[in-house]
Amino acid sequence: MRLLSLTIRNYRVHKDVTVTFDPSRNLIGGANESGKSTLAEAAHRVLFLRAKTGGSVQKEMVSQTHLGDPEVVLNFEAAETSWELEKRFAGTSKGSTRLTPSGGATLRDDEAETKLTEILGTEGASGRGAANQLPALWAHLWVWQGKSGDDPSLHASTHKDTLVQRLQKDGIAAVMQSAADQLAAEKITESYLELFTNTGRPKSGSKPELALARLTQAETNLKKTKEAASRLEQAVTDYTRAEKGIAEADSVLPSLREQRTLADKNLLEVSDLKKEEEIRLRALEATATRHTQLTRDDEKIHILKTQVTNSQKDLAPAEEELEKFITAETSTRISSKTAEAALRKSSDSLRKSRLVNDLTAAIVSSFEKSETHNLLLEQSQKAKTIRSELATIRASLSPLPILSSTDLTRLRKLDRDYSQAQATLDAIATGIELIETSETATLDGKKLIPGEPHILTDAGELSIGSGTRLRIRPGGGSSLAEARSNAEKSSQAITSALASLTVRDLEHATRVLEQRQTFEQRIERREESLTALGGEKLSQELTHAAQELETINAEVNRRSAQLEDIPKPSNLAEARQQLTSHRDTLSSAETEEATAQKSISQIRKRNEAAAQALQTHREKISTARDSLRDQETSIKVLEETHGNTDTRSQAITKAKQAQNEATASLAATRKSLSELAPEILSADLQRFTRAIAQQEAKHREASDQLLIARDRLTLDGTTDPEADMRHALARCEAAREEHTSEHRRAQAIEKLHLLFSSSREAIDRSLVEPLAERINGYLQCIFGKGTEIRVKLNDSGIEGMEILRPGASAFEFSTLSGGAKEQVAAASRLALAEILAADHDGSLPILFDDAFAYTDPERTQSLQRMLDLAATRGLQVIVLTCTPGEYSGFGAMERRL
Amino acid sequence: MPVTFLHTADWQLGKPFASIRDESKRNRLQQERLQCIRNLGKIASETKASFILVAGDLFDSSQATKTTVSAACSAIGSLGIPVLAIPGNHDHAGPGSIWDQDFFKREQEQLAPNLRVLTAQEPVILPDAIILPAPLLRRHEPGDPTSWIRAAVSEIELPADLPRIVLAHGTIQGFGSTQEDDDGETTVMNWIDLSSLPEEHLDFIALGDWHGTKQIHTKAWYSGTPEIDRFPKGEGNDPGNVLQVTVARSTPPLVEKIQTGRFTWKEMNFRFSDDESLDLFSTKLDEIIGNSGDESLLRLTLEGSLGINSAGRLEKLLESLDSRLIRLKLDNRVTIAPSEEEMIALTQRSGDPLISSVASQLVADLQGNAEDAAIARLALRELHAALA
Repeated sequence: MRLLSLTIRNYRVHKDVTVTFDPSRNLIGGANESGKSTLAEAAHRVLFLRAKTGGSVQKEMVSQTHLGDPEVVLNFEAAETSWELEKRFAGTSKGSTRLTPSGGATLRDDEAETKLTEILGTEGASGRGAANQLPALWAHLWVWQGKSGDDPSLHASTHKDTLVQRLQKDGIAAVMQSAADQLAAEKITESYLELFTNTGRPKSGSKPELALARLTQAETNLKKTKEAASRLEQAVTDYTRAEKGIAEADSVLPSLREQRTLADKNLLEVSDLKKEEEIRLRALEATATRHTQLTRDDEKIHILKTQVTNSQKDLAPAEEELEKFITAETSTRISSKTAEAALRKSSDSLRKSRLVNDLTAAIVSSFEKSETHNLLLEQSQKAKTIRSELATIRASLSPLPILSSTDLTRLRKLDRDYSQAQATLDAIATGIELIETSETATLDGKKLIPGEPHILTDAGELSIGSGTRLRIRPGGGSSLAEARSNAEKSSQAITSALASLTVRDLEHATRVLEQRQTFEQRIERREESLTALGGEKLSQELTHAAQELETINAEVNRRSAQLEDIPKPSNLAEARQQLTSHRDTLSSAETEEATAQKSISQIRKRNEAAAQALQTHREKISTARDSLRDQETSIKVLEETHGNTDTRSQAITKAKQAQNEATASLAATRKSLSELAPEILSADLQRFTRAIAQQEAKHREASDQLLIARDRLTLDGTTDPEADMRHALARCEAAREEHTSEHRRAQAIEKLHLLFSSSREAIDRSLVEPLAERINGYLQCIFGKGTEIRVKLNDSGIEGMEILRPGASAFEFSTLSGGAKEQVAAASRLALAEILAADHDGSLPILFDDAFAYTDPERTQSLQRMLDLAATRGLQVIVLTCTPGEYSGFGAMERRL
Repeated sequence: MPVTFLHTADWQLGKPFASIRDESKRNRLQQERLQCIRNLGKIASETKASFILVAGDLFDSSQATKTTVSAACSAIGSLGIPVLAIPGNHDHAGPGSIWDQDFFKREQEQLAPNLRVLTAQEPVILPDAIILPAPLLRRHEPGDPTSWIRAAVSEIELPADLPRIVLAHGTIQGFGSTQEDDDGETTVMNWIDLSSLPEEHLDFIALGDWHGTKQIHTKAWYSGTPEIDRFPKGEGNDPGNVLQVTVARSTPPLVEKIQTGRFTWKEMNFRFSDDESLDLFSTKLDEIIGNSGDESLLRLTLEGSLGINSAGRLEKLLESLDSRLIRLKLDNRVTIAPSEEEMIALTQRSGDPLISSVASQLVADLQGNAEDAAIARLALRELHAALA
């Protein structure tokens, strides 16, 4: 199909325009808004929109500037004929269609539309849905402005069936799958999904999986039964081994026991011999001891005898010497006694002197105390007299008012003050005397009697008659009152002072004071005398002196009782004289006694030394004698036991002999003992005992094991382990067979599934491959050699496209730049158009309305190459552009609007 | 005086038949073994046998259950004449063996007082015969269990006029249960050296272990099992009998085989050459089994290859067979691959490119390694089924 010419009238901006088309390459230039897109739309609508379409679709076509219904006339070649198609878009009733084939009758309206549908192979749009239907019709050939970058795979998908049919018709692609294919594939998929998950893993609960589970169970069961059987086998083995163990132990035990008995017997003998050895050893020791004892005793007797002789020799001179020690001691003892007598005498004399002296001293003291006592008695008498005088004086003093010279002085002053105050008062006073009156005259209310003077010492009111009143103020006023007050005060002061001192008047007071002073002087003198006599202490001193006197007198009496013959002094002087004399006597007696004391001390020492020497000597002799006696006793005892020298000599010889015999018999016993080899024997016994114990233990252990094994071998008879095992084995085998079979089937189904998938994909690929090849041809015009497109497939058709360029990874259409999108989409449209063109006399118009807006000017050159290739391959390329200059290299028929 | 007795062996009572999955079928086989023993009573009375000798493996296991023991004792008790048995390798008299268990002793005493288990290597003198038993005291008897007999006959003074009968269980050169049996159990060999036995001093050697009836020489016989318990092996294998033996001192024995087995254990091999051979197989199967499926056991080995549809048919056929027979032991090595037509139907579908493509790839895999090919075959069957 090719467009030949297009005329539009009253269509949007166009009044009447005709465009003639080149069969291959067309370039229609025009500025924006010049009506290029309207041209493209008109060409599309005349083909695909029914003329009797109304509504907004029709209204939009109506021109605002030109009168008349929109009309489009298209001349085109199709189905090997030239056609003129004329449509008048005048709404649902007036719209009309005419289709006139070259040299044929004109078809009108419905007839014409039907024919048109047949020619185009596409149902046109009409009615209310027309607006929506239109853009989809031949969208792969009409590249509307703004749609040039759309994913071209959509078109490929939309036209898949047509494509496939077209390709099949040409023998290019394999045939499409049939309904039977589909059904078989579905059945296999169904079977597959019963066995596998979406990810290709065995599905749980599927037959092979259940069979596997059963197999595992059967294997486990088989293992268990085998174990049970093997336990029995083990028990049999244990039983047999135990029996063998018992038999072995039984075979060796008797011989071992026999050997042990022999060893036991020998050991018993050894034990006896050892006891005998012991006895013999003891016998030998006894004989040796006896011999040694005898020899020693004999020697002892010899030594003792020698000692006796020596002792006797030593004792004689000592006994002679003893007399000398006795004499010396006796002599010193006598001297000592004499000295003791002398000492006693001087001591007596000294004591008596002391007594006399002490008595005399007491007497002296007695006299002295008596004197003191008498003196104090005398003073006491005097004091008594003075106190009685004091009492008399105080009795005279007490009735007198108590008055001091100070009191008297004060009284005198008060008296003087009173006299002065009275004198002042007397000097101030006014005398009033009514001399004569006819009227009644009163003074301070008191009727004045004529002639009766009145002394006024204070202010007074004088009334005369009824209308005359006079105030009289003596002394001019206040001074009179003051003087009177002073006089009264001083009078009161003296009166009260006298009263308090209980005196009548000043004179009386003077007299009283004189009397008091006289008495007080007397009392003072008496008290001084008393103080001189000792005052209060005097009586204490007297009492003390009396006591001391009494004490000393008692002592004098006591001492006097001891010394009656001593003459007593009659007074103190005599006594003191005697005392002096006695003191001298005492002093000489003391000296004498000290001398005697010293002498006796020396004599006593000498006597003690002599006595000590004597004692020592006596002990020495006594010791020597005791020793001698002991030696003699020992000799006697020994000789009584051992006899005399001959007897002893014989005994020693005999003891020696016995010792020799005992030595010999001990050696014999030891020899017998050593011949029995007791060490080895005892090791043997231990060895046999050990071996027997081991064998017995082995026997015991084997018996135990036998019992255990026997117990395990005792069946309860409910099952036959061997039969169980065979059953388990058979079940296991069956399960394995089943599993193998199910598994095999699953493998077969899986294989089928895979083959169906891969075959279907191969078929699909063979369909899209020719399309891809054609696209590649166009793409390489722009992007160079090696650029390829890969059409991606899925179950429902073409899913998308990927572009592969040398040295770069594949990228999706959606990731391309705006320019590249336009170019790849154009290539894809051209390829699609090229294939589909076969149904349209080998050509189809393809219209690009400003379809390369994003393409760089440099790219436009290669773009032209691509468009040219399409034209060469038979397509009618129509490019509408606002920049026709960029397409100068296309070599197209150019037309400007 | 000649004496007549029954020689039998390998009763293997309590055998689990574990490989049979159906429990009721297992029970039938087990019950039939017991019934077979009970039937011996009739034979004994008909043959006027004095006693019955069981040459080992009376029980299948040395640990037989109480149920088995009680049923066995009850059956033996019903026989009415003395039954003398030795332990075999299956029911050896080792430690913990069934003979040792209290519950066995109790049941024997109460139900089968006529049963005597000979576990000692010593002559047993009966009123009319001398039994020289060779009991197995363990499963693996390292020496010849009969070796004591040679010394005994020359050293022990035995009644001169009584026939001497050896009762032994084990393998002699070439015979014995050396094969793996049906339950996958490998039995051991207990070698009996017949040549070393003083034949001239003996009158009959009653052997057990080999499940088919077999005469070794004039005086030595394997009685075989009275009821078959495994698929027979080898040519001339003849199980399912007891022997009626009449013997006197220094006289050759008179031996007669009496058939006792009820179930038939059969074997069949078939190779499928093409899909048509499936019909031939069906016919042959009918010939062998006929209507006796409920008393038959069959070991079936199938080889060759079948198309998918035929394989489906075969499967159904085998399913029926498995349910009818007491046991079908199947060794199915048949290769199931699409037939030529099936292959074309799968791969050459001009209208269904997907199926054709998948099928073609699977067909290509059939030429690959065994594992891939097996999976491809299965996948083709699944695809085939998906198209049905």
